[in-house]
Amino acid sequence: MTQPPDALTLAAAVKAGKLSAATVVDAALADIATRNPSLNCFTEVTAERARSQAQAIDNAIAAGQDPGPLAGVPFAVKNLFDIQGVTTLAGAKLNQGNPPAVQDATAIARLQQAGAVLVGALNMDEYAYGFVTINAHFGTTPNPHDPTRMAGGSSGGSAAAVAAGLVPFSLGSDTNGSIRVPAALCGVYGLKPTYGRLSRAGAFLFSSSLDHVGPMARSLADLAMVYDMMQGPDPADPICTQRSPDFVTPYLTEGIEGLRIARLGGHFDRGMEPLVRDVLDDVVDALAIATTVEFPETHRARAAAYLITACEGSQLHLERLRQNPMAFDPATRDRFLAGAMIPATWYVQAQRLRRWYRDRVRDIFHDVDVLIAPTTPCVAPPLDQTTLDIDGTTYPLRPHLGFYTQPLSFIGLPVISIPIHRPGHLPIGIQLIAAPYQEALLFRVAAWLAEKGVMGR
Amino acid sequence: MSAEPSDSIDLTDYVDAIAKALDLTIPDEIRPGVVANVEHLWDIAQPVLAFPLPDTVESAATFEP
Repeated sequence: MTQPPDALTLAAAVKAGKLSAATVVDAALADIATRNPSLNCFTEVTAERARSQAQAIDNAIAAGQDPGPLAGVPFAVKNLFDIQGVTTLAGAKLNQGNPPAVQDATAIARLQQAGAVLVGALNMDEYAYGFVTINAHFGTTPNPHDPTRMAGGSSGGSAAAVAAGLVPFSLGSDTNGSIRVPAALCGVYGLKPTYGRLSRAGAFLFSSSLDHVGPMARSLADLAMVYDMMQGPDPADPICTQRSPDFVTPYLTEGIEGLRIARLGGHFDRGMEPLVRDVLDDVVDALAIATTVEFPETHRARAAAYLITACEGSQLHLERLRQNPMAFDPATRDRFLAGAMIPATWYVQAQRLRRWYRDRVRDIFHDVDVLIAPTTPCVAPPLDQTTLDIDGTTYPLRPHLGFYTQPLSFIGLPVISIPIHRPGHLPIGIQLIAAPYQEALLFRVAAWLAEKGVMGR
Repeated sequence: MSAEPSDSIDLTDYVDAIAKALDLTIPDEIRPGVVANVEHLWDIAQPVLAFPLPDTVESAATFEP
């Protein structure tokens, strides 16, 4: 696959006057026009806006102004982010009749402030309810490494666009694994920050208690810079933290000395393909990890996340389910209708279990800094696969893709899924997990692993 | 709610009653799928419901006035 320059390399060339932003953006738009028909990542290309902004950046540079650390870098967003003048689809035909967004989502506005140039919106599972990006209305986004296989989801367009080299970075959202799962299956970095760390204002939510937004990139330094540019309080998102930004870019060269790193056992050590276990073992060996820790009652935590998601998502869409159930994607419709029928006591018990589980995990982080676990139990499965056989057990494939991600987003822990590329194999994702607001530790470990060549590319 | 597994209970009546309470019209062609998904949720809920939590554990939902 084509691997164009990463974001920071492009920005440096633009700022140095070696490339104009207009040239970079025109090349990205031409590439999208040529390759998107088969990659099916983009549902909207914002060409006019992108060219206009690129020209503004070139004018700023000519006037001696600083265009920002991401000057002229094209990026795209999952189509649940508001883009001024564009209707926010959230993967749903039902949203096509909605009026265009009146302003950009906070995440887009901040990246534009940093010089990045939005070139379009990307495919997803309807209303983010899925792990596959097989969408009845807008088609399937195939895996760029093998178009007969899944890209993962629900931010599948975001992961595939980055993996295919259409853009150096993108934004997605993650409620139960929707950044990390497609990042893993497509072989790119995906960051799900601490719950509330990044503003979700202007993103069409799914399950507010669990929704996060975050970036995906091919380069770790890009991931760090994009995350840094997105940080900061935002009164428009009631969940967004009031904490000051904690920039991670300076930590990329800090190394891992003094960090207590452990493997996550129990639930996170079951149900994976042998290749995933081999790769996990390699990462554990590279980091000389000698300790395994377990989170208690993780199967209950995962079940509680499932209930909260179903309940909140269904309530959000209740009026649409009343008015027009047959306009939903068949892949989500029956699940949303069923979720609307969850008794209130189930929901509250799940929210109480969430606090209980959070408190147990907080205790564990007194003795450890970073934890390691797989992102998905398997490599990208064929598009028509419905079950997964591992160690004599048959799992339903789609929910099992979130087996290792769902319990972590449940309690809002920051996680980076790092891509491991082995010759002759599809990519595999490994999760690096830290205590809340300790994203910098994740970037230290990821940078060290990349430096040591553990990623394999 | 019951701690019995869903395969020992016919949840069709439950679906019909709640649909009526919520003013949801469920077309006949998708009703079996909805019932199957309620059964699935029922099974998923059991380990959550069966876990004893101290009275002091509050819901994780927060509100800032």
